Amino acid sequence: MTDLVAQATATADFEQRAVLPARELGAYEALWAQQGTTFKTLADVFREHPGSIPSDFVSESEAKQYSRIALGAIREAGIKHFGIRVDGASEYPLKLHDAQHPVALLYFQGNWDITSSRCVAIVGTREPSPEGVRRAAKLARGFVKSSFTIVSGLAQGIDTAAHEGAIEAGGMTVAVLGTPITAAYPAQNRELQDRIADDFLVISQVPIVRYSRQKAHLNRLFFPERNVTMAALTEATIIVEAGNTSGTLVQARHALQQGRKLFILDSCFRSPDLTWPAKLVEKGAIRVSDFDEIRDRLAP
Amino acid sequence: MLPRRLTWIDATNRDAHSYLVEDDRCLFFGEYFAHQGYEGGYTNNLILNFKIKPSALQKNPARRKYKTGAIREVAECLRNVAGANAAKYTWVPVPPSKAAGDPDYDDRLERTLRAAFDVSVVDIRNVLRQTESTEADHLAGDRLTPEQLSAILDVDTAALAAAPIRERGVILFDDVLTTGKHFKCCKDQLTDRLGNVPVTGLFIARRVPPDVSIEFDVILDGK
Repeated sequence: MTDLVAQATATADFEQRAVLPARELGAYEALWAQQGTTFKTLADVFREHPGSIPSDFVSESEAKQYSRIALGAIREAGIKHFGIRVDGASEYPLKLHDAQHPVALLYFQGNWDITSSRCVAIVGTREPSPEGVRRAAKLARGFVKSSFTIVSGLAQGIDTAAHEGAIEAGGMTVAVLGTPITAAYPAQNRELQDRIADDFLVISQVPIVRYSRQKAHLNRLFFPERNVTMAALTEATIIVEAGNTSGTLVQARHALQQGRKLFILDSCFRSPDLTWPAKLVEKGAIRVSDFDEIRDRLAP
Repeated sequence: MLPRRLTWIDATNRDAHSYLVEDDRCLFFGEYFAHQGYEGGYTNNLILNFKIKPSALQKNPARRKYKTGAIREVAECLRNVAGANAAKYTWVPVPPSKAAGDPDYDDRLERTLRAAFDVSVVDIRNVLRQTESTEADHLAGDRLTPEQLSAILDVDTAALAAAPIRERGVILFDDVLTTGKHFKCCKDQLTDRLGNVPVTGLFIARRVPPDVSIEFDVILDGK
């Protein structure tokens, strides 16, 4: 690995160093195809070699091979347009550097400029109460009125209510997927995902080839990883409703670690079985009862 | 800041630039989001400030600092990204769309190159000019056909022949890559006279229109 980097940087001029998007996504996919690769192992490699990109660690032929497989899958999925962001090159969102293991590359579909709007994440359980759904949608409407973009994870339940609430209110929404752009989960959100990709923005850090080759229980590990990205992309995370073991809590912890604001709706504190709200408040989360209270605590 | 690494136009992003074909070599720093104006993020702001018209500065001299700042910033990024290798290329600014003497004549590209590099070492050659002014709207593009544009492009052949082109060829420097028409016309003018010298476009940003497609066939079907 190190040799490739040394070779690449010793004499490289700006043409050789430039990102070739098709090759770069192939290199990212190739790195992920190696056994034992996680977001942590990749981030460690890039920390060790500041300023490097995936293709610094993958041979040209391997990058090409994986590029063809990934692009084939993207075409197969009926995707007409997508883009990538590479850490260190064009339009990579620097706020992602606040994540514990910043992603080296991500895929997107839609209008990237939405990332420069003010964004909040509205997240929560996949099995919400009817009240929870109503609250998520209401919050989304409130933020849309204040010109915020609603970011969520396209999961069932609160996420779906947040995305749909934003769209119905005429606002913008971003879906950060726990699947590659070539897949949809849950399947019934396929239409919503397509709509968000066409009109707004869908983001995924999940490698297409690895995902297609490994078992579902391993792919589930990508979901909490995207929560970390969601936290980093937004200035605040709002938890509407979540159980004690919910993946939402991953986002909560990371949001606080990243120095983002974390709001927890009052209703979460009223359930005697839930231990996490009080614990998170100790760590800096803010208990709120409604949209106005959240808005007051964000920059004007 | 603009990134320290450039990106190539390839099959995944070429569709946004209708005049470019596979053989064209174009590099860019960032992306300009059409129709978003100053709301479109860092690169949009940089480009809009970089392109403030001289007539607008006349009207509102307070804006001058934004333009000067943008030129300085782009120059610094060029210097960072090219380093000592800058001397291995001949740098040619794409000519201003207004002819000399027009109140909106703007030589910002040439000024940026001169601010970026040590001119005693780096070959910056202003060899292209437009003999007539055209409407320079970086969002819509002008209405000229490539033939009409080529007809008003003038090459300073004496300046071009005055010294050999540097070993790695010509860098045609422009601010925003839109359809690629200007790049193609300028490149053709140069290659007509220089033969096989590689001509690479280097842009501060490429314009991203809302809907573009991927040229899957170029990669997957070898077309």
